[in-house]
Amino acid sequence: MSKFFTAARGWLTSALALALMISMIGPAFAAGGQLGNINGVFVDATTKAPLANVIVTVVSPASRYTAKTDAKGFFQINGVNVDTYTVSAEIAGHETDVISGVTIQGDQTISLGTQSLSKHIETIGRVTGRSVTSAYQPTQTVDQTSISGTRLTVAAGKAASTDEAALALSVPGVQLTDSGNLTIRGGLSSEVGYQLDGVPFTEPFLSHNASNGFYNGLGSLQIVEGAGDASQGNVGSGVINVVPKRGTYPHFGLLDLESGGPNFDHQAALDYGFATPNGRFSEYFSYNGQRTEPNYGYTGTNAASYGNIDGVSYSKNDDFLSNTIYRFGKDNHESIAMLYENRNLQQYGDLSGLTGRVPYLYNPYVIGSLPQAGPGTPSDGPFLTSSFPTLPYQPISAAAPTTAELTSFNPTRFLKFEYDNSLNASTFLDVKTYNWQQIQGGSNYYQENTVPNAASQFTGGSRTGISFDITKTLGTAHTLTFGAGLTQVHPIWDGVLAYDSSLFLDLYYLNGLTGGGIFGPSTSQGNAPIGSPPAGWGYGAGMTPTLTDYELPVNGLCPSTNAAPGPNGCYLSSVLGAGNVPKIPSFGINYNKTDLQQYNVYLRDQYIATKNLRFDLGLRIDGENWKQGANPYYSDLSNPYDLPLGQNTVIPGDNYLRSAVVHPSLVQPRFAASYQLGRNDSLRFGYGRSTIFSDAQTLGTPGALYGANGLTNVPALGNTADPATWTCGSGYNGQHTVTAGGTQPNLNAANGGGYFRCSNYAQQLYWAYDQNLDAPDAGNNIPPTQSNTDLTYSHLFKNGTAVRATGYYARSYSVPEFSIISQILNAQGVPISQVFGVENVGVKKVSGLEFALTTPERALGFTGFLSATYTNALNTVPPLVAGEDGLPLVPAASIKLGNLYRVGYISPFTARAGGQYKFKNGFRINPVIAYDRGYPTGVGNIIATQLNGAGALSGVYNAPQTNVNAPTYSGFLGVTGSYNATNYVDPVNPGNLFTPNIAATRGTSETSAAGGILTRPRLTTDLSVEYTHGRNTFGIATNNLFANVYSEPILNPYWQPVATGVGGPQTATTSPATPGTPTYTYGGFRNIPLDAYGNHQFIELPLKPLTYRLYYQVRL
Amino acid sequence: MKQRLRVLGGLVASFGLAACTAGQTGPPPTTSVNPIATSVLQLAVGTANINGSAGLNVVSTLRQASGSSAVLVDTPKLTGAFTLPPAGVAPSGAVYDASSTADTGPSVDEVTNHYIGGSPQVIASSANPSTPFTTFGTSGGDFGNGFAPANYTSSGLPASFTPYYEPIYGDTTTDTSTFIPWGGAPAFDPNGNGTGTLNGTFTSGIRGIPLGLNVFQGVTAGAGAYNLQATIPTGTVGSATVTSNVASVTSTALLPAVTAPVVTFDGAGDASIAYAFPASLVGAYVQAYDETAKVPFTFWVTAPAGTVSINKTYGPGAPYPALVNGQPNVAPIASGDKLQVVVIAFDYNQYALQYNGKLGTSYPQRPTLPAQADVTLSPIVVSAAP
Repeated sequence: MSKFFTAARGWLTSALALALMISMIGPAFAAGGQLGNINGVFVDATTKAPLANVIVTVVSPASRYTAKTDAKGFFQINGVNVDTYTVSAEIAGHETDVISGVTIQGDQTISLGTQSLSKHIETIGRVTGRSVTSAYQPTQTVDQTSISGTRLTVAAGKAASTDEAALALSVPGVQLTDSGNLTIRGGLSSEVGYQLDGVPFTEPFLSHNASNGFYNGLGSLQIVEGAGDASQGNVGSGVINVVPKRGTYPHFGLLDLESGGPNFDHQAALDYGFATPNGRFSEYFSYNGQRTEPNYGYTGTNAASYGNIDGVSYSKNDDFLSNTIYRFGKDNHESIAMLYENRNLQQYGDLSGLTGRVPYLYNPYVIGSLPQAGPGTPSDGPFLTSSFPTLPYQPISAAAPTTAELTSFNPTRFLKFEYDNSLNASTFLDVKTYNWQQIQGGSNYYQENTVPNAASQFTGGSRTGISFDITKTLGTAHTLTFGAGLTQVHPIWDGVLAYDSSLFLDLYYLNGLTGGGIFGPSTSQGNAPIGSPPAGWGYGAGMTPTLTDYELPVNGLCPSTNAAPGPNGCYLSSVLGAGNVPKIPSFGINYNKTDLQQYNVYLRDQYIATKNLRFDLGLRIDGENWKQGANPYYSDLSNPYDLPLGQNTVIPGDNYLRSAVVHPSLVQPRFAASYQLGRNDSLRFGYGRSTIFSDAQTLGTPGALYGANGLTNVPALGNTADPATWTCGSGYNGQHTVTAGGTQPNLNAANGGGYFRCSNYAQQLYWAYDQNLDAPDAGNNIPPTQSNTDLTYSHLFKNGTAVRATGYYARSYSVPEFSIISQILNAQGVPISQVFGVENVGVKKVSGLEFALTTPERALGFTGFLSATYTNALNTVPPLVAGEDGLPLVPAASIKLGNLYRVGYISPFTARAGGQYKFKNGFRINPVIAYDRGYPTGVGNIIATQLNGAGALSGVYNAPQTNVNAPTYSGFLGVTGSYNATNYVDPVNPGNLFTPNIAATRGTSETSAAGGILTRPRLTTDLSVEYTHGRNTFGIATNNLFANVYSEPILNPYWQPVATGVGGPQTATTSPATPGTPTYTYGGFRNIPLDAYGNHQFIELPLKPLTYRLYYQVRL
Repeated sequence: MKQRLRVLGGLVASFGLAACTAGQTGPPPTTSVNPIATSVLQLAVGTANINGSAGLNVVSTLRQASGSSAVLVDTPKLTGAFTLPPAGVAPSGAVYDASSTADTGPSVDEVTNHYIGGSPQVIASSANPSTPFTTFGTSGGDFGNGFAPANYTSSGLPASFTPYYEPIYGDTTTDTSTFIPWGGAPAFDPNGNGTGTLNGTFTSGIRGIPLGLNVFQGVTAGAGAYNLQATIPTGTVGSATVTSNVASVTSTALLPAVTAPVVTFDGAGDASIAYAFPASLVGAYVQAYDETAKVPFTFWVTAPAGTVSINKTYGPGAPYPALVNGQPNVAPIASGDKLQVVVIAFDYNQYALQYNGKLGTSYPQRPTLPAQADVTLSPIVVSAAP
């Protein structure tokens, strides 16, 4: 062992030296909840006899706790707020012992060990040998880290920052995905469980952090990597918990005023905390307001050059947080706390600042360019204008907007009540109840995108819950905690998709015509989606609603049929009268009253086996009841799942509504241990099984029909007593397999329901949508499970510098993945409409190494940290497909082949270092340097392919990837189609699928799978410099100091291959991208200026230039 | 003080390191070839006897070292001692791209300036308000086996995998006037099993391997020198030109006519084709195309007369029953299918110049072209299987 540790220390010393050389250093590490425990034993220094009735006082500016030792000299206080405390021990006839810098870690029991009191009547003070921010935590059993105190400032660069990611990334194991999302230990971004003061704070629909990456009033940031202890639920790869500050006595506060550039950028922040001298009442509140114009490239960058005409032009964030605590009872052993947060994040579009944009009402379907087939016909502009669906908050006139549209409104409201009671010296009760909601979304009436998509979409949801935890100390060895909780999750997805209903009805209109139609045929420029419904689109056997139903008769005749109004034309007019025909209803999504009832119960034992050996044992059960909301268009409102409730007869055991989907539950063992090898070396081992309930987007896609109230009294078309004419029901849902340009197998074919007789036209229209454009209403998704195993060695150097190295292996099972059920492609092979299903077929295996180095926190001089992470993550998801780091879209062929890839969303090696140097004269300099080895890129040479209709050769293959065998799903970095290909076949002798005759390539180094090569490494720097005089601080914080942060390169979709590595004449050649001008085309290849994308295969977008903020702060 | 200096020194060093990486950001490196240097353009020309009418036969290869087409985009221009017919009507864009006149005749610009060529692939702009009409338009280029409307577009795919109707300038609306020169089994059978390119493993729409035939109807081959250039883009705006050898026509006499082939259906799904061509010639394609099933059959024959048989050895499902017209097919020619047949005879070994091998076969960059390449085409016969 000695040789091993000698070698290890040598290596660590080298690492330390290297770190010092590049002047980055750092602290940190602690826990996972907002409460912890503390214990210890007091003995007589001479006789070593236990000292009973020693009064132990644990004090921080915000909290005070007292206890007495028992006959064995042992004391324990449970339910201590996470903070840094001074512990004093008093007993008559002995010295008063004062120990400073004792930090309580969430969900952890901190042991002072055996303390000796001398029989001297004097008071001595000392400081514990390590702080919670140290990488050396020899008694810590599970892998948890706290960022607090000076570390917060060092990692973020300055006080009053709101950058939650900057803090989290200072912990090894936390990395950024290529989409900019946080990931822990290579897991999916959706596997991170977010918390606010111990309350689940993951947005219910998309599983992102409900803080939106902004923190306010932060006291500490706690990160659990792996499963954590048994009290931790909703854990996939880890947990990030924001613990707010509390009021203290004496008070504290900070006023912060900031102004930045080069774009408009202002921030005003104020926080203040106080408490009464007796500690009974405390209050902390914080406000942060920001007004920014996002930097997208350098100032003056042509937004159109990067296809960002409609990007965010202005962002407002107002965040208020209040944390109120009232303590009462003997020795304040009871408390009630209320935490409230109110945040409004608003974003405005039209980054280009173009004026004269025409609103949705008149523009999204390019009505001005439509064929004018005659008054009243479906292709007549005025007819469309009067008939197309309206959207919520839609402009009421065609007047061009004078201000940018509010495209995203993101209100968050959070409220938590907590009651704590130290029932007796060994028992602590914590009860909390909470209710919060976040909604995000907006409209885009003025956008002119590749696909007309004016819509109103809001997602999010609420979580309402109650939980309790009771902690009981049994003797000196065991601390038992039992807890349970119940959360009601109500997801929200209110989508009004006017485009879809118009598209659908038009397609069926076209079905009876030859060419033309409002969407027109496909063109070489791809600016019209399709000219006719995809073959195979179906709709029962009865009549189908079409656009002609909304026509108005002219001179008594329906224009499209030249006959009297009736079921074949002007149908609604024939029923309701010409003056009463409503606008076309909007298809959409609505979760109605869907709820997810999540519950948990756990038991945990923190067992101190010996002086050096500790265990953390636990068992946890998490479960969920899925309560789908009934859709008013269903025939059986008692079965809101759009599926038969009986067992699937085609694939037994794979029913969408099986218990594993509707009522999942999981037993999760947790085990961890720490062993202190010596005074300055320790080992830690942990294993845990965990689950994180999937976000609501995997539950299914219940359709909705907005604006159809007037049609519920209109008889359905065709549906007679003959069942052959019935068209309502989910009978077709999930059974169609047809795609334009590529067929995907239908993995959900067995779950279709039957038809029933439509009772009215609205119901008929709803099911037409549900059967063709909407994904299955039931998601067929079970929660994934993870197994995490990790081993940590940590060491404390004599000068207080600590290092920690952790190796881990994590495996995820039943990971949900999207696959396409059907899709419609435009002329370029780009999907314009896709229907997805969810399959729990994913497997993920991650192993890695984490390294942390921390220095002691010093009032003057240098304080710093270094974190480094190596990650090797394998996944069943083809690298770089859309949504890879969350809920990816996976080609069915890849699923069938069982391919396992190295993930493309994460850099295999990242490091981050931050440090501050505080001078006596008041200056402080604080650089933060981030490094990544590069992110995976490359399309690859092999692709999973489905070969249909080839007789004996029909099947799935891993075949060469060429321009004629390119992904038809949303592929490389979210784009798809032949122009992404690595290899291009000889057009006059192309070869076949398996043996292509490749005449040219992109000239890039490629491996078999996508993402096999890395982009160039990046080393970026943020730097803050400030001067403090008295209570005043003046400073400047720069971000991207050397302006070398670019987005990851993506393929230039306008690159036209000529020869290997040579682009061609249409590469990036374009006419101006000015919407509203004749040269602007939707989705064409020519709307990118020549100087934007250049003649290179890759595009590298400058995300942000060097930005800076000047700030003034005054301590209150 | 010493420690402070060390720390500050470290900061400076780290900043320097970070700053130096500014120049390192960027996409992965790429390797490029110089298509001008790697491309070899060869040309041979001769007369064409198109069922009694004079025409111009052009044999060209623009290949890279592997024998594949040298580039994916180029703009050809043929000049020489030929005589163009009157300009055709403006293109409709219905057959090829909107600037190609290959289905109507040479363009006004080509007649005026005496060339047969393509149009530069430049997007219309104020400086370049319109794309000029040419025979090949923007979609036509020269490739490993001659002219084809196969220039790659910005969609990442060729404008078309289908070769030009032959003869070029012929009436594409009548199947007795022109034919699509798809090469099928047995002469062009890359799978090596009689299925040609039709076993489901080729991209949809690829019905065969092009015969490499470029015959211009109405263009008179005059005696003299001929030259072919291919302008190859070397960047967004740059381009360079590769030039062929100087080809020549020394004799303007047409080859003898070839009699129409005789097609006989056996009533059971097979067909036989009796052909004959002048014994002085090197060989001939007996080219058949099942218009109904869109299946080509190609036989390279060197005997001046004989019979070839289309049977279940060839076709999409060979050697097993296949789906043609949605019905199980025990033979290549299903009942009722229309069969288009033409015999194309050469005074040189045209077949040897083509991509006629199995998948993965390598071809020479510089196939040996004849000094003069003459061709004679029989009448096109279309008949329906009983």
